[in-house]
Amino acid sequence: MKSFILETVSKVVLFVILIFSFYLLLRGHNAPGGGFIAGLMTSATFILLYLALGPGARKQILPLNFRAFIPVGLLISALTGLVPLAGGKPFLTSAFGYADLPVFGEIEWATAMLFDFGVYLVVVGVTMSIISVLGEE
Amino acid sequence: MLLPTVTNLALFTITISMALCLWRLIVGPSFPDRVAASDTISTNIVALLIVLSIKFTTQDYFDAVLVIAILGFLSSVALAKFLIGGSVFDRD
Repeated sequence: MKSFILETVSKVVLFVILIFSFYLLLRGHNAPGGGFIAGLMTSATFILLYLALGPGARKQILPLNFRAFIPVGLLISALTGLVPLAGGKPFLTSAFGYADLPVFGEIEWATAMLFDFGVYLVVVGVTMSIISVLGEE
Repeated sequence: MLLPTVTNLALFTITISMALCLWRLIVGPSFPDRVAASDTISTNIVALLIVLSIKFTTQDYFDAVLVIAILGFLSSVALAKFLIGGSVFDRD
C-alpha cells in the first residue's frame, strides 16, 4: 500500500538525515558521534527509502550489494590498526594534526577517522543485510 | 531565579505526561492506542532532553535529541504501515 504523503515527505527528509549522518561521522574523533551511530543513521535513510517506495524501487535507486560492505569495512579498520606497527608504534596508535583548507579554514585531522570509516561501512552493511532479509522473506 | 523554577516545573510536567503515556501503552485496549502512545513518548523524550540541556546549560545533548527524533519518526512510520497494510515492507 503506497502513501503519497509518505513518499513526498521522505524525499525531503531523506537528504537531511543523510547529511546529519555524515556530520556525525566527520566529528566522531573528538565529539559525540562516530562510525557506529553514523552507520545507523545512514541505514535509517535507506530504511525510510524502503518504507516509502518498496524494495524494488530501492534496488533501482541504490543498486548496491550491502553484504560486500562488511568485509571491505573490516579490512579498512584492520589495516588502519596495522599501519602503526610498521613504524614501531603500538597497535591502533592514532596520529593527528592541523591542516588549512581553502573554504573551511583550519581543521583538525586524525587517522582515527579512517578507522571510524571502516566501522561505518560494517554497520551499514550489517543493518541493511538484516533489513533486506526481514523485508523480502 | 525564574529559569530554574520554570525548567523544574517543565521537567515535572513532562514526566507526568510520560507516565500517562506509559499507562496507555500498557493498558491501551487497541493497537492504534499503543502506537500513538509510543510516538508521544518519543516526542516527550525529545522535550525532556532539550529542557535538561537548558537546565545544565550545555549543547552536548542536541545530537542525541536529533537521533532520537529521527528514530521515533521512523518507528512511528513503520508501525503505522504495519497497522494499515499488515506488513511493513511492500511486496512488488
